[in-house]
Amino acid sequence: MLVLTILKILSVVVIVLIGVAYFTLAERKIMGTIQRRKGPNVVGFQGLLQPLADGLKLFVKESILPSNANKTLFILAPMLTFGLSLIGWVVIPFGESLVLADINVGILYLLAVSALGVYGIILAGWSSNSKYAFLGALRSAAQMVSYEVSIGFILITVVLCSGSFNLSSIVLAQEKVWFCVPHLPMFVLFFISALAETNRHPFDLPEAEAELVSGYNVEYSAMGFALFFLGEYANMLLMSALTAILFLGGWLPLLDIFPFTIIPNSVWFGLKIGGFVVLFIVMRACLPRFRYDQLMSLGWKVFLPFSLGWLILTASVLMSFNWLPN
Amino acid sequence: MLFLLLSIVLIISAILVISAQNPVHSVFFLVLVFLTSAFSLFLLEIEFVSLLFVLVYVGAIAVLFLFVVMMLDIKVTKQEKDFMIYLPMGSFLGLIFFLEIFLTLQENFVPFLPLSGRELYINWLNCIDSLTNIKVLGQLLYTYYFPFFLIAGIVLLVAMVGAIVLTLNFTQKAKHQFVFRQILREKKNSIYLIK
Amino acid sequence: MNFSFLFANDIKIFFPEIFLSLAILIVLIYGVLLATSLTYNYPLISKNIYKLVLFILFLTSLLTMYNPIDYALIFQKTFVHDDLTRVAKLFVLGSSFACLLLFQSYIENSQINNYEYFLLILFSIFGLNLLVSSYDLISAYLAIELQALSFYVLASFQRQSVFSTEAGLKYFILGAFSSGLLLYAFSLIYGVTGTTNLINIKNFCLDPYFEGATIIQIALIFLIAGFLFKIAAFPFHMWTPDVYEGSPTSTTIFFAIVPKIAIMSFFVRLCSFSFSSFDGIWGEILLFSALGSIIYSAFVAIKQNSLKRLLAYSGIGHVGFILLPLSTNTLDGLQAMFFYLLVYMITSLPVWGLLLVCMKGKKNSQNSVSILGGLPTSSPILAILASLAFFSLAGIPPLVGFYSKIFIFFSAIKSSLYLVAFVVLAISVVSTYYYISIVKTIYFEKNKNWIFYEPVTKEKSIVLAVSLILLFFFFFNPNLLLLLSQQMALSVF
Repeated sequence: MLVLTILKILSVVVIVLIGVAYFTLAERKIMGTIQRRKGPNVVGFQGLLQPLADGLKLFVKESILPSNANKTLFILAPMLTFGLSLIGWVVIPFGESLVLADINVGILYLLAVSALGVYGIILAGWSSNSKYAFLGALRSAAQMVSYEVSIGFILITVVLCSGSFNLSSIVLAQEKVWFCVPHLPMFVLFFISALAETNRHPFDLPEAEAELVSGYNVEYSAMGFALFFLGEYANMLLMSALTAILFLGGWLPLLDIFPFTIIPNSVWFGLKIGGFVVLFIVMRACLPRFRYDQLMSLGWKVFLPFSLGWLILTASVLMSFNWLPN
Repeated sequence: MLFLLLSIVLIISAILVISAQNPVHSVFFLVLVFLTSAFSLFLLEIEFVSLLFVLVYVGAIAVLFLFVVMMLDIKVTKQEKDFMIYLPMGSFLGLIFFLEIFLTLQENFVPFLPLSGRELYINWLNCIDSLTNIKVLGQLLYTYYFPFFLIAGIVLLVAMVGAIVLTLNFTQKAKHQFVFRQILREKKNSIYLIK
Repeated sequence: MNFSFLFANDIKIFFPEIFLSLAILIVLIYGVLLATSLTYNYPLISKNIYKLVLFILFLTSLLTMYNPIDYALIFQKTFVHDDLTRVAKLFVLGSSFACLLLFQSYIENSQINNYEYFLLILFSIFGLNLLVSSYDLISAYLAIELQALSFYVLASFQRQSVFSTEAGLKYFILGAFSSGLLLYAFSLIYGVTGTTNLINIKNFCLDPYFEGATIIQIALIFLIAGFLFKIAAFPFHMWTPDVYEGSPTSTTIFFAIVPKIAIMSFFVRLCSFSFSSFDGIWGEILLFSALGSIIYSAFVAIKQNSLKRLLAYSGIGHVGFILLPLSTNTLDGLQAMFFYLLVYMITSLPVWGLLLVCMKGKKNSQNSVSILGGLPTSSPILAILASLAFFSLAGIPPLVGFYSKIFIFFSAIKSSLYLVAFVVLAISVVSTYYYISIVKTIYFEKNKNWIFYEPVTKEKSIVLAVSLILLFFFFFNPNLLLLLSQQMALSVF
């Protein structure tokens, strides 16, 4: 029984980590294409083994502990980030009843995990005892906390329409129509908030190479850096999966008719995640960075009121047409 | 078993919150207190409240605490001298209080704890009731007790108004960015011929 | 869509509160939109909002007065409406109306231009009204938090002043602590009885086979400690002088006059109604606290130089007088208590109004008692008014303060607390000493320096005159107050 559970967990973790590895490769390749160069193409066939080589390199490098750092917290921070980015995958349904833990407060669980994610970054920034790292951590914490609010409202909108906090039932509620059709603005908002939540371009102020020489993880090298890196990309994958589940019907095929139903459900899910991954990369390649006050005013003055208003609109529409799910 | 372990961690970290020398460390221990209490709530099958605990206290309030504590450049001071003065009296009072509570709780509360009852019988009523935590809360909060919900909203509004009044420095000298003006600016209305 | 008329009557009864809350929200929106509008060049709308607030208070008191139903438990027995709530709410509204009239010019002169000041006062009045009518521990807690939160902000409103922020911080920390005590008590009560409703708790406590009596006793200790914090009675009074001195004077006046009746009326309901069978315990604690506050304040107030601190200590003493009859847990005692409360509110108006007259400018140094020395030459009528008000506080016959004290002694003697009555009588001689020494300062002390007083505005003079007339009127014809206080006391049980 225990072995089976461990195997189940491992199957998810390994798949996520492989996904992360090829996410990085895809990023370099696609960005290379956009910038009219080739990207990594030496290690393996067309550079396919590049992420493994990178991992190996980071693994065998020497870990440096800054002498003024707070040692325990300094070591703890990357582990926390990495662990939290993997924990979230527990509740993600990869297909019908293909889920590790089918708990009925799945969305809240995901929100809680992403709320905890701030701590890894704050810990890293503070314990490194370096100004760049600290500034990066402060920016990142403020940014993540601000965008979590509007993410919360968007999630509540979806929950209102599906009548459940369980991710599988949210997917099943989209059998007739995906939520991205009636909630198109929320879909866009959610994706943008996900960009901000994962500190991605164009909201990558915490890492801003030009200003902060990569922010909260300046002082990290080797395995510590690798864990942060893996954690961030796993988080991005998680956000893409969440967007797919909430708005694009998770594992459901595009249309429930013959040519689409050949492809297995979990492949549909993977395709949707892949689509978002590509979107993440394209965003990075083509958008300039936001200024910090613009970022904050976008989060608090545009997204928050808009998502709140949309929530109330949804609730009143559902109420007045008696469409509330059970 | 797990519950006991969690509560031990909770108590130890709660003690460390007040005894830690570095304020940032004590905030981290506070976070640990919140987390362990949320986990123990989870074990008691109050999953909604426990997750809200993590979301609100850990995800928002403690982060703000950390922010403030980190930005203030507090020197780590040694307060052992003061501590030793207050220790005997404080511990005496604390002990009396503890005994008082302990003895009365011993009398009144222990038989109702689920620890002893769980093995003895199955409460079938609990099994029939299939409502989730959230639904129960919602059904009470939005029907019978809706005035409380509204009043709590007003309390939060007061907090917001107060925070804004006490901190906002409203000056007309501050420069603001007006995005719509920037967007509306065109070649036509921004290039003049000055004679 | 189905609409339910489940709460139709409840909403009718609750209409004053609904009106008040909606009015607050509308005024808030109005203020937010107007005060930040570029087109009107960021106008100062403080005065505007002040008038609106007065109007709202007037309308709310009208609605409260003409409430069509006399007695009801509403919203699932979480709120109550009876004579006690009606009178207490009217007094809360009326006294805050008078307070606003008193300190408007002070606010203008001390350049508190933020319109939120008046809004926060409205919020706290809303909280106090809810507290008066709450019939459930949860609603009471929410109401207490509502008024306390707005009080913290009101105390630290002059954020440039070190005193004000210090006062706000002290008040906040101690207030939060006392709220924690209250919450712990509530949770113990809930843990033992499984209910938060006052009438259900009463039934539990009356049950002879009730097992949680010991826990209820512990909870009562916490409960009383929390409430004593809130009304600033003896062992928990430390914050009062500092907070009163530091906060803007307008806020101090509001703190001193308005909230006591609201907090006390819920506290009385809790003690004499729900935990009536435990009156052995809370009676003793309250008696101790009452004696302590009376004795302590009488001796400490003699030493005070600052007028604000002196009045704060005298306020602590009055809280002692309020708690003393409550500890007897009799109908007479409660009537005496409510009578004292009502009279205290009326008497405090001229006393604190006097303080406002002395607060010229923003300087805190002009706060000492000796500043009253120039009053007879500068404004003889004001001097007479001040000395009469202090006489009434001391309880000297041709004023209504005499009755309020004597009723308290009667109620103590009726419950055969002879020793207590004697001690309090002796101590009130001491307190009379410091009241009269203020009068001595007014009339017989020559001040070497020039003293400047704030001119008395029309509104202020009206409030002062009316309260002074009431002080005399109720001495010769106390029936109205007696009737009101008896109604209030009767509706507790």
